[in-house]
Amino acid sequence: MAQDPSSMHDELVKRYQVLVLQVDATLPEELTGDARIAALRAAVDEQALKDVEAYATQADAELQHDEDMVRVELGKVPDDTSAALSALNSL
Amino acid sequence: MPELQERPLAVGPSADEPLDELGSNSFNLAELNAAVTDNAPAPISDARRNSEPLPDLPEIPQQSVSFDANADYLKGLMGSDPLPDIPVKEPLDEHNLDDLKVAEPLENDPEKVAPTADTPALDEGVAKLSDAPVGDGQTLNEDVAKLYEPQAPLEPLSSSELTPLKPLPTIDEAPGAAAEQAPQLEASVEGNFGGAADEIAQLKEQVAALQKEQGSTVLQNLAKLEGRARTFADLAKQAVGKGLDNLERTFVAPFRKLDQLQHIAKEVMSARGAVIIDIKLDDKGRAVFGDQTAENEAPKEDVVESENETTAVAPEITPTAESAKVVENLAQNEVPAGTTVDLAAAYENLAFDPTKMESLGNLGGLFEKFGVTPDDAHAAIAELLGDEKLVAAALQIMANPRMREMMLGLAGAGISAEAARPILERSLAQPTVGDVVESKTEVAATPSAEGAADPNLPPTFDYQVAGDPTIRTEKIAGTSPETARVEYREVLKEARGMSASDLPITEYVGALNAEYSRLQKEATEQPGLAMATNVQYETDMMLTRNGKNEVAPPVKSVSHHYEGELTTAKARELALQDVRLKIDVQNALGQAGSSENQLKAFDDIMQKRYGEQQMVIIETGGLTRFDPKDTMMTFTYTPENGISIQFRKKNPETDAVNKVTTRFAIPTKS
Repeated sequence: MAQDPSSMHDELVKRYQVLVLQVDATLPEELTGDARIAALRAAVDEQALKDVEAYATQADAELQHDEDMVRVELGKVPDDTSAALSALNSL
Repeated sequence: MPELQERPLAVGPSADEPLDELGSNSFNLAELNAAVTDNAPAPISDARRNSEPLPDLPEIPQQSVSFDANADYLKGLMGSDPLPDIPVKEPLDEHNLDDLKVAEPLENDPEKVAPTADTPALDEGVAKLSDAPVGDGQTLNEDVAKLYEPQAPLEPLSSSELTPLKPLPTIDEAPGAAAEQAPQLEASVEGNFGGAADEIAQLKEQVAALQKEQGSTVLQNLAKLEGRARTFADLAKQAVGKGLDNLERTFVAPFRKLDQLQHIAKEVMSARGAVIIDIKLDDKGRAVFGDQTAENEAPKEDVVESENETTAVAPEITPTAESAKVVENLAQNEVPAGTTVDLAAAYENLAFDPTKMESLGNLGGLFEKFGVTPDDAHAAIAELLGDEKLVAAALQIMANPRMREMMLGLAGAGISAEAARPILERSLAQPTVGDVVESKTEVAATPSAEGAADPNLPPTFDYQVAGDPTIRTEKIAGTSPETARVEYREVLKEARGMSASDLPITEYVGALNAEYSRLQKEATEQPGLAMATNVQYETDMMLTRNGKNEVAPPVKSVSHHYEGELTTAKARELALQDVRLKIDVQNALGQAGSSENQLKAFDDIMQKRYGEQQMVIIETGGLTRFDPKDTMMTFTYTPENGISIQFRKKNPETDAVNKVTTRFAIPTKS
């Protein structure tokens, strides 16, 4: 089911806010000020990276299948995998 | 007016009559009613009530009741003095103050606190209590001692120990990914996939800025996806070459997945930026958020913002006037004319490090206070930034409040340094619309030599806004200094409105590229096609960041209206040229930086295309901010008026529509 873009943003914001509060509850009280904020921000960054990675992994798996289908359509054996790999290596 | 007669009230027994057997002056009720009736005054008619004033009430004599009289009365009632005499002492003054004896403090008089036979010593009691077993068998003393033992710092919980967050939607659940929203890939399928690859590359940059460790899985995955998108671009090219019939159907699914991935990742990065910049600590040192709270899942006391909040994550840098002046002077000293400052690098260095930004903001005040020389200041700032090359750009940013605001906003949204570069450059170079329009400082107008030289050209005037060095002299065509002045301001407003700070210039250029591809395809594949005169050809499509086209729901949409006159290949060629022109202009504006350079670049392109007699007509509205949800871009071409691109934004609250229209008129070539 499709989501409204703004609701997705809000949901993500809420999700990361909850994460901040959870992590905050686990941090030692001695950790204060900017150091504490930095720790909280790092937790959000880590979660955001995990989320992006999850989507990237999902998309890649599905695209692999789609690529195979496209090659079948083109009646072509996937012979240019090396080109894609070289493109990857150049990044 | 008849006077009221005072009559004795004949009610009840008199005081002289003896009491009845009940000890009271009881009386007959019927007798009482009769007496009341007899003594009642005649009813006052309404007419009389309204016409006759009420009689004056008899004056009550003023009586002064003394305290002594009341005391005598009480004395009479009680048979003796009601209150004993209270001796009144003389008020304290410096003469009798010494009469007051102040007791010695107890601690100075040990005998007074010594235990008596009846009272156990306090110390003994405390000692007994302290040594008494409490709870788990430990004594109170032991418990207290334990509290003062140094505590080992708590280790932060690992991710696995945290309450699991709700799973995010899958790719197919993401916005715009409903099955019925199959994208209609137009001519440039290859370009669309290339655009998707570019998007992923940008995303990779953002992620890399967050990810400190090299070779992380997420970066590897994104690189893999980018490579896959480019592979699809190659495959699409091959498919076009082979004349594959079901081109769209073949590539719809992968394109949709790539598009949705970009969208989701963009939302993730945006939400991440919004949250981290909003984290604050309350007076207890606990995390709160500036204006949002997590509902339900979080304890209320953790999310209620304290009134005593003082710590901010991303401080709004508000240097004092003195410190701002110092920074500004340093900035001017640091940036000799012609020097290119790398704003993007400075942005990357500063924007994601609020502490560093705050420190830099405070340095100006310190330099002023202690009279630090510019060289020493330079060295200090270079050390703070860790790179001497960034000093000039950092000072440029800190000296410009709009730049600081822009930088914080961009950083909060997770915008990459490269994407931020043109925005920052324009932000540095241009005044706000309000600066230009509302400025009371009039521009100076002098006829330019070029304008007077050729009588066939519209007169031109040189303008400069006094006091604003960022707005240099421009040559503006106008029939009079007044009209040219208005035009000049409109040009500036337009330049501002079309800048990336307000409008999605990359999306705009992307849409133009898509339109260019579409027209190019039409001109190439259907050279003999002649549209019926005055037949409107219209397509609606979604505008995504790379001009990719999709069917509704239109988050962003572009409409192409070719109202007549596209009946010949020549007309289409003209349209094609003008789209190309528009692309060139926008690209040039994006690279020009300052408003002066933008206008020069614009003039160069237009003159190259149309010669000296080109005329630019720019209509502007009140668009001040881009909101992808409510913005529509309309692209119109007519031979008479040339290319017209209009951005319209609907205010969701008032339904008012603001618009910005840019029209490139095609001159009659002589």
